[in-house]
Amino acid sequence: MKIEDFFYRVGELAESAVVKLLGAVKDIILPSPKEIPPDFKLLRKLVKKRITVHEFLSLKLQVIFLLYLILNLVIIILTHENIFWLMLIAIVYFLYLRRLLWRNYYFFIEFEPYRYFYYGIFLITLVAFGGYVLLRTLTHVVYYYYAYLATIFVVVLLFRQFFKEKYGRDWTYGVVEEIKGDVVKVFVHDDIAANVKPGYYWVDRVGDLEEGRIVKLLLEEKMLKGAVPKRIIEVFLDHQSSNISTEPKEDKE
Amino acid sequence: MRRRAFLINSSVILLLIPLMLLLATYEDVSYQIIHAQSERMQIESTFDVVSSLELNFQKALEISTKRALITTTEYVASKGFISGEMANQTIADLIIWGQSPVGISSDQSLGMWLQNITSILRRQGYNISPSVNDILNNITIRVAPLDSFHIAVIARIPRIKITSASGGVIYEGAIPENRNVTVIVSLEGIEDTFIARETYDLYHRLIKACSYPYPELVERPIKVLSGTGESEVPVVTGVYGEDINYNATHIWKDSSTNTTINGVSVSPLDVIKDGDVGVLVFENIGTTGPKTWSVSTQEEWQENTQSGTNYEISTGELTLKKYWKVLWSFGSASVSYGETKTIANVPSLPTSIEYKWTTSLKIEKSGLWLESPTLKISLTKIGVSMECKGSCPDISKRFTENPSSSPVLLELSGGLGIGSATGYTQNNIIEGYVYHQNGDWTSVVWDPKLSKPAQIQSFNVTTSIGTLEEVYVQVGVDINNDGIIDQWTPWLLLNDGINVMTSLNLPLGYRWQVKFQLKTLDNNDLRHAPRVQKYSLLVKPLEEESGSNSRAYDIQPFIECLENGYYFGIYNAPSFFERLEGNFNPDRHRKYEALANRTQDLLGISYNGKHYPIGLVSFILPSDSRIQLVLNTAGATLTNQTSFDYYFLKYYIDGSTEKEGYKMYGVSAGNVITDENFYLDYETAVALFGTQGAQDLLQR
Repeated sequence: MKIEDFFYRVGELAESAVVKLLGAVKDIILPSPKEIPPDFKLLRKLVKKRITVHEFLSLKLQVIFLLYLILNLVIIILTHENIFWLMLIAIVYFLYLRRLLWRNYYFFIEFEPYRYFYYGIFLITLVAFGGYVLLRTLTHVVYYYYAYLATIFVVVLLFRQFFKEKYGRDWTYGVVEEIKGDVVKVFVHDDIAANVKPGYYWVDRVGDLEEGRIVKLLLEEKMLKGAVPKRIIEVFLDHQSSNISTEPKEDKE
Repeated sequence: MRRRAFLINSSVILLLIPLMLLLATYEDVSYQIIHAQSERMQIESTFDVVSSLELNFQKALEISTKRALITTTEYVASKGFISGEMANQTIADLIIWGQSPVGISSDQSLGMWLQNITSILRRQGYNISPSVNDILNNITIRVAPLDSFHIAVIARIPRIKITSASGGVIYEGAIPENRNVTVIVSLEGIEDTFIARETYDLYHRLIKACSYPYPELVERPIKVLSGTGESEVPVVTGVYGEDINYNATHIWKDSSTNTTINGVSVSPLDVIKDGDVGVLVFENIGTTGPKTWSVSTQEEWQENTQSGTNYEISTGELTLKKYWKVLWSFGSASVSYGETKTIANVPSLPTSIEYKWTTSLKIEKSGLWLESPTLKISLTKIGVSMECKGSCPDISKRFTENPSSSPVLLELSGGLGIGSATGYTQNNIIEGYVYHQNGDWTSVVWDPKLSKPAQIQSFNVTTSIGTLEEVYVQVGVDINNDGIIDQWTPWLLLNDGINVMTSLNLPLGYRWQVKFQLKTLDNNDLRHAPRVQKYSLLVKPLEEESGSNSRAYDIQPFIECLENGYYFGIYNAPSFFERLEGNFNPDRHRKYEALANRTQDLLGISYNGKHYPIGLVSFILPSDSRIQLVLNTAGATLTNQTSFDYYFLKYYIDGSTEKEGYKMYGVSAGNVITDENFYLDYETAVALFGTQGAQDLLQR
């Protein structure tokens, strides 16, 4: 190998590295929707089941939010009143969250509620912990802390209420998987707006049902458990839906 | 049915936020609880600093006081008495500063303690202000004798400021906060340097209290039992159980002497121990039996007052008790010399007067006589005269006029020979009597000046009562010693001759009076009138216990303290401080006493409302070989100087302060001798044994 070639290589590497870095920075600062779904290497190892991209995304959002929360707690405990670490982690989390959301814009069944929800809880967390650090510098009287805690709890409940008002529904869509006599098994996607967990639900059978048909399901709200489909209120004859392609094949072990 | 349970529902996610915050808060709250606890510990440690400072102050004061006492006694023993200031001031200076202007220095003082505690506290992060010197200057201290065997030190730091290292004031105020620190130090076991100093360091004595430390206040170092007894000698000394025996009711000396004490109120067995030295004291040896007063009425009742009639009759001067001597003129036939007696106040007009020789008047002759002398008696003014030879009869004269003062002439005449004649009545008594007819006669109030009431023993009246005549008598008594006769017997009819009246039925009294009533039922009979010839009233004071008052002493406790050189706390003796000063001055003693009284009042110490004394006294036994050495060194010869340590040493060593003492029974007088040269002054003996004890036990 000639020395020139070597320098060329170095030059190319440097150039490409700069380009890659710039690309990465651009990707972080101004993420754009991608056509290719992410492969969720880590999550796939954790979740052995085959689930849809939408559900993977939802799971990832939850996991990184939980990580963010735990990190906040650790920072509070270990560094005490250090707001710098809190802000740093907040920025990192926010950039990552934003990128994750925008990048997978096409893979969300419904993008807006997810974005709103995760931005919202991020903001609440940031304010809650930041305010807490601020409070600690102001007072050491235990009762103020309880009062603050109660305030945050109220804020959380208000946010939940507000979110429900804005995006909340008492119905969701499901796909008929199996018809057995009087009951029908439907598959429901994760739907943050309806607060329904993904999975199979048994509902009463109605007329005009076929396997693979999309149905509109009435939900019943249950505290902490989320909503549960109760009845089929509408059957869509046209089963062409954008969601179908993302629906995983029936999971048979 | 399968659900994608790995996803958490959004509400739960939301609730995780306050949950996480709660966790953070929990950590923080627990941190705060620990913080609060440590804060409390901080407060407690601050409190500890102050209270330990108080405790430390108390201990430092105690140590400094003891150290100051020892340093002072060492100084006195080696250099000299403290002069120029009061010894308590010296000790106060030593306690605070560790040195005194007198030139004593102590190695433990409040000053040193403050230096130490300040640096220790500084290491712990506390600062003390003001400076150590300022604090010492401001300490209030009082060093006072508390009683004979204790001194009290009362002190306080009026202002101190403790700041923490960060500058916060932890404490500001007095130490202790709202009281004084009081330290009471016992003097027992400390050397009495007065004695060491005075004896050229040859004799040492530690202050130690006798088991009867306050004889004037609490209990005397002698035991006494009183009763009645008999003895041939007034004082008997001996050892109980050896030559003096005792049982539950009696104390007696061995058979060789007749000595017993009976009727002791407390059982001697409870009080006396075998081997104890005893002293038995008897009052009025030789006058056994009850004392009685017998009354011859005519002697005592001189100024009778007639009541109801015109007569005042006195018989006083007529009584010729004395040996009556008649001078004899040899050779002359008619001239005679005689002693005359004058009736001073013969009453204005007695009905009659009668003289009577108790037995007979006799002339005793000596030498050669040719003729027997004649006795001539005349009441010149009345004109009564009689002559007789040898034995003379009674004479009597009835008055018809006022006799006024009437000298009685007793004259002896006649006789011829060489020799002398002496005239006398056989019993040396001539008694005179008055009587009158049909009248009342009242005696004066007879006051035999009794100290206790007496009972009439006998009342005898001799009368001459004829037929158709009556004589009555009445006796009165002053019961309550106010000079007024309170109670009379009824009129009692008398018989002719001797009337012995035993049961007059009168109470005890102090004064008596007699009334007579004479009646002639036949007024025409002038040959005889009722007469009271003689009366006598005999009274006897209350029966006293038979045997003389006597007391049995057990002086063993005193002897033990004496032999061991133990100290007594009495009022009139030099206190510990005065012993340090080497001088027992009344003014200084009063000052110390006033200080002690104030301190006792402050601490609420008293004995039955009385202040404890501060004086200390021990006794020197002059025969002790070490004392002999000291006395020989001083060239002193023993006298009767008291053995009171202060006076003894001052007298024999310094040649001053003479104080006379007396030998004490059971110690230096009598059969049992501890030290025959022991003398005790009366004043100290009274302090130790009481007045009676001092009178009984000192050989005066």
